[in-house]
Amino acid sequence: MKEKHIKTVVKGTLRKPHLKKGCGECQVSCQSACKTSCTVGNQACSLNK
Amino acid sequence: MQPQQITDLISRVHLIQADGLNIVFDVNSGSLYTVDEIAWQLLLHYLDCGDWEQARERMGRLDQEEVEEAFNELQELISEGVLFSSGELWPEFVPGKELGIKALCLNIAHNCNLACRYCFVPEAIRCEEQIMSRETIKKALDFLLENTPYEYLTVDFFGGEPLLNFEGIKFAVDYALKQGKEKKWKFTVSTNTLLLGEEELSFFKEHNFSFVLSCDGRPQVHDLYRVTTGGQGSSAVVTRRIKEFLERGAADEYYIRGTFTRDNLDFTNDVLYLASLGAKSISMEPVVAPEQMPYALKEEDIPELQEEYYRLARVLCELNRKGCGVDFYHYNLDLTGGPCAAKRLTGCGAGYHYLAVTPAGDLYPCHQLVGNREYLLGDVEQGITAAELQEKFRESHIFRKKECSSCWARFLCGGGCHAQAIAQGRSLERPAPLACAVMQARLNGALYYLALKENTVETV
Repeated sequence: MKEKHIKTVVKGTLRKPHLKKGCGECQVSCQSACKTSCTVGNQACSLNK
Repeated sequence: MQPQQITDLISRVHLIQADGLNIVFDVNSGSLYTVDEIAWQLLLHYLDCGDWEQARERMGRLDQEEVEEAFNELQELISEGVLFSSGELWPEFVPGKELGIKALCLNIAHNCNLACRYCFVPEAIRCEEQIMSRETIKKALDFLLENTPYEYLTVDFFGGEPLLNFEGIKFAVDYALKQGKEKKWKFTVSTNTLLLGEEELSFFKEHNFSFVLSCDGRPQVHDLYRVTTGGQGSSAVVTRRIKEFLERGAADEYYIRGTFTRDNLDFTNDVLYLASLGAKSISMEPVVAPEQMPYALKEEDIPELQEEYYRLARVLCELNRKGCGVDFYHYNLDLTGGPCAAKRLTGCGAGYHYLAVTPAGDLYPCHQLVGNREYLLGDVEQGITAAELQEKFRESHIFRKKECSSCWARFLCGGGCHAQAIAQGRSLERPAPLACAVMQARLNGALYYLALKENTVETV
């Protein structure tokens, strides 16, 4: 369907995570503001690299 | 209509209105849309009553054909599972059980050559002037190698100021590479830059270090808090060091990282200042401070903070348009890839995936909890001695936290900082409301940035 009223910016894939059980090989993401690595949303999956 | 259903709907989508853009974020799929006024009004009505027929009826005065089109487009996305999508399987998943230790934060020196006025490290620790001995470094790395199930390991050199023990850093890297030959090591260092000279940079380059370089931005902002023990501002020397670092191309991966307080809620200007030095990777973080401190962020600052995050998004888009874009760490959301479910649910993994080691060899869940004896997990000699406490950290994922389980930001945030929750009188199960508000404001900014980029006509 042509989107006239809605523009898709990103069609997310979070609902179908390719790996439910973490392999644990990705970078650790400290969530404290004193280090720059907060939030998991901007982390990369090491398997996708 | 049952109120519970409305609550459920609200937990599945998040709506943002900023500068004429109507932004819709589907929480469980991570999909992001911009919608016109008709679709926006339909969504608002639906979220209010939980019934599409009623929502359409409430659109009465508008062009029926337009309303039908918008309705059909929304239904199409719903049927595709990318709007109001459910995340039904995730709450049953108990993450963390299979995750082991993979990263150490080595507080290689607890003393510091600055006396930043907003430093979160307790005075007692700062006055200890301890540096980590070779023996402790060896035991810490042995502990990691003996207990990790992973191939990729991370060691972060932290402090205090870690370069006050540069010999210790060199020793640790050498020992790690010799003892863990089969491992793939990632080394990072967080430094105030004062001791970043030729020898240090060469060593870090050789070992492909990632950097966090501390600079708060504009000189008058930086010098307000980042001062020497004599009270002198450090901006001049830090700016010089950062320029040298950048001109030399000293690292592939770095962030120039600033702290903002309620004194510089206009921190976009500090991002611009850092960009003017040549920095391409920038991060700006809220100060970590007890609420009674005058520079600590307050609830009343949130609206201004939100506006600033939106302003930052516009400024970054403008820099992109001019061909001189910078990478703002927190706006790098990857909604199509990114980490797996386990990562999103467990967040930082403090206490079992990531541990901090003090110069004396004590093990804490993370660097921010160092010195808080209630959270002492063990030491490098005996390993983990507080197994029950470690288990609590394992179980502190977002579906065990009441506020997180229905929060729109849950899969982007990962549950927030445990240490911050504890510092603000909450617990592992209860995030701190102010920290949540700051995180949500920043994520709103990040989603707005993505939407704005998509809706900006490229002219270059």
